[in-house]
Amino acid sequence: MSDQAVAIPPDAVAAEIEAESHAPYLKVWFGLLVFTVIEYFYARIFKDYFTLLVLGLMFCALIKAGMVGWYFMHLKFEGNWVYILIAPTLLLATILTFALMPDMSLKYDESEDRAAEPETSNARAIGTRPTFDFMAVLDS
Amino acid sequence: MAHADVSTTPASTGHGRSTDHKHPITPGKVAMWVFLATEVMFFTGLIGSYIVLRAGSSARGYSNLYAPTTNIAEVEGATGILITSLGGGSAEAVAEAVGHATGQTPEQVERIIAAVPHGVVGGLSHGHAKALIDRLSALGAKAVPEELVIHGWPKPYDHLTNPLSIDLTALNTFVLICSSVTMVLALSAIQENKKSKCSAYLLATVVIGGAFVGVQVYEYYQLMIGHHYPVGISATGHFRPSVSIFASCFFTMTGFHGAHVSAGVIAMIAVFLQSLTGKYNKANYATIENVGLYWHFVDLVWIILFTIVYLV
Repeated sequence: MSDQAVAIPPDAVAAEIEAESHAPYLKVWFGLLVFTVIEYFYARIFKDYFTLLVLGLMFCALIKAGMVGWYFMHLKFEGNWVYILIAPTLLLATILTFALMPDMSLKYDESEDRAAEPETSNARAIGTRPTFDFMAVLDS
Repeated sequence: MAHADVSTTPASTGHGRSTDHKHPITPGKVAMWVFLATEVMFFTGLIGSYIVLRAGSSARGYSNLYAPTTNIAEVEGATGILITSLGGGSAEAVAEAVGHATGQTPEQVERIIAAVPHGVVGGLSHGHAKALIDRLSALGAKAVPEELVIHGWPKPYDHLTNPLSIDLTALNTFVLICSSVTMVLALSAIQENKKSKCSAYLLATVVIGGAFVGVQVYEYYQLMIGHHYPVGISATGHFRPSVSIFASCFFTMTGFHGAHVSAGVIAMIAVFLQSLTGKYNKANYATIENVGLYWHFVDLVWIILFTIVYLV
């Protein structure tokens, strides 16, 4: 990676860098530790309650991810240009997720279990499907 | 390389997000953010595919008594036992008793014995299960009845369907978070022109990041080779990408993330070595900032992946 020689900053930028270099990183680190511990015990306590589990854990995960982005990736200190890059990305990511929703709601059809499925001429033609168990070589 | 375009307007030094002035923008930083935007799409695609596969998985895809590919409809009336300890019984005698009761091949029985304390014997009638438990007790082994439990996806903390160690990975998650902190402290140090401190923090980031990769390699080794798992996890006793959709998803997602972390460690080593030559100072730290952005991003992604793959 080539390096950028940053010009000596004027006072305003120097002040901003000063604020950035003194950001409360250790407090953020402690916050991330607390949320990781909360996640750990929350997952143990609510492991049998799927909806509560997903909602609670995703809430904690998004808070943690937000802390990393806001403080460590310096979103707090950047200008609007970075949001011009991030916003379309998040929009496209959201669209992609919504575009997958029909597939997500497509449930497995039990009637298509191999035992219930009559053997077709195509299935006979294909025969045994190849396996990709590359680890089998370790057992030999 | 061209100098960064640093333009400013009157500033505030408060701790809220500044909107009345600009932080230095370098072409390298913009390029890194564009790259990270593509990475967001990449991991969104991975996570989206995972959700599709998980949601579309059969409601009877995983069970405590049978391998993930088993058609549960064919074996639903049967029950099983769980061998929790060989106790004073010899492994050979226990294996012989299990083989005699089930008619399984010596290799299959060997896998059951290797998986103790989670040795699962399925496909038994209630009468045969009770008789086998009595026989094993007479040999000094401990076994309990295990009724068929079916899941649509392996449950966290269920040792009979899910081999993932949440304790180890939760610790490893925190290790990666610590490396993010040392990374940002390295940047902070060089912004104050403290070169030695910056190098020390970069070295710490390399070591801690390397530790994360090391733990992941250890985890992969245990899953694929070192540990024997019950049949509900894998018919072969080892958790490898081919044993189930869950395994394929797990190795794809954590593998791609691990590759990103490994690339980050290599980049970090290069930056650390350059820092020893005195290349960086308070007017020239863009490389450290850009590598740091990448490093924090892989940390951020892992926070999401850990939650989705391990905890849910």
